Amino acid sequence: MFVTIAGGGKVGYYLTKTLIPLKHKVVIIERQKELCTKVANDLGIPVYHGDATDTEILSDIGISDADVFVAVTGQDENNLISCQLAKRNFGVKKTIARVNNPKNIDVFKRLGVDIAVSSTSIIAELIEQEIDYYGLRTLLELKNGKVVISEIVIEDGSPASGKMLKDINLPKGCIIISIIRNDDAIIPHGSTQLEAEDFIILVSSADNQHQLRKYFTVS
Amino acid sequence: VNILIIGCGKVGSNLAKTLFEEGHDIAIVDSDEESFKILKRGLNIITVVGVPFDQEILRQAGIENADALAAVTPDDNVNIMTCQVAKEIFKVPRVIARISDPEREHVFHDFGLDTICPTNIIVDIFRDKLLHKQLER
Repeated sequence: MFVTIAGGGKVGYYLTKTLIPLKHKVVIIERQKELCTKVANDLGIPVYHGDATDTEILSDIGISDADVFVAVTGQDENNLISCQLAKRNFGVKKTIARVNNPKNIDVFKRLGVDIAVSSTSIIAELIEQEIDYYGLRTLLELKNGKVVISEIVIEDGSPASGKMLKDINLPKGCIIISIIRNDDAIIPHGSTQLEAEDFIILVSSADNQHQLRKYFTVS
Repeated sequence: VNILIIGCGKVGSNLAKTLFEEGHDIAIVDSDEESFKILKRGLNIITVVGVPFDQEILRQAGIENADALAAVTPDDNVNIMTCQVAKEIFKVPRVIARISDPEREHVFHDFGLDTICPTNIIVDIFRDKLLHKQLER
């Protein structure tokens, strides 16, 4: 794939270093001249000196041929605008932007950036998943959190313990997809009985995930 | 009319003063607290310090009740992003960006932003004066 990266700082540099062995064609656009020379010498790829929010530079690079445009500068306004230009003026299919202030994630998505990544919020989410919902752990998030797969162990004396699946009234949009009991995997149905110490795997939305804990733990 | 001005430089501060004296309610945002010194004392203008396209800063400056917003910082991209946030997220009815780079102005005008390019305006005036064309009053 042809990947254009705006920003040759730490993120851009290591991103490029990671992509080159995967046989992607990478070019970088960077505003600081000294940084351009350094990155070009280190990585042996074309580094263009200029402003990635300048349509002339983007057109010189031939960005319309890029499969992916990635903006990873330290300025949110520049990352947003270069992605918008790449997409709307040059028809680049996929745009990815680094978001420095996590509050801008939504703004970026609403203003047309395909993927907005904030390392701050990723780390914060990881911490939350590890320490927050006693025993409820996220295994996988799909479609930006619209679908979440989580695991939890049923506590003795919790509302679900000893009940049949159909009687615990999980919120709408939450489904138990598997019960692990003594190393056996059970695909449950309505009359499957849940037992304390069962290890269950559920699908829900991120919003519903927060309500799930009360069914399986003793409050 | 509630008007929000982004950027308290020469243009922003004078725009604020003019509109205030015409009886409008003005709030002005700038990332540098020092920049507000340029505002004349005695003007009842709300000042907010912060990154202009930060939604909390914009809320503090009363964007939810703003009828119009002018982004006149020296940074074209800050003006563009702030105007997009004001227009698309806060649905401010009238939003205008100052964009100094003519090429950029052209592009974002095409994106549907209401833009003013001081460079183009000054170039036009100079050309007309240099060539002794009659200026409209």
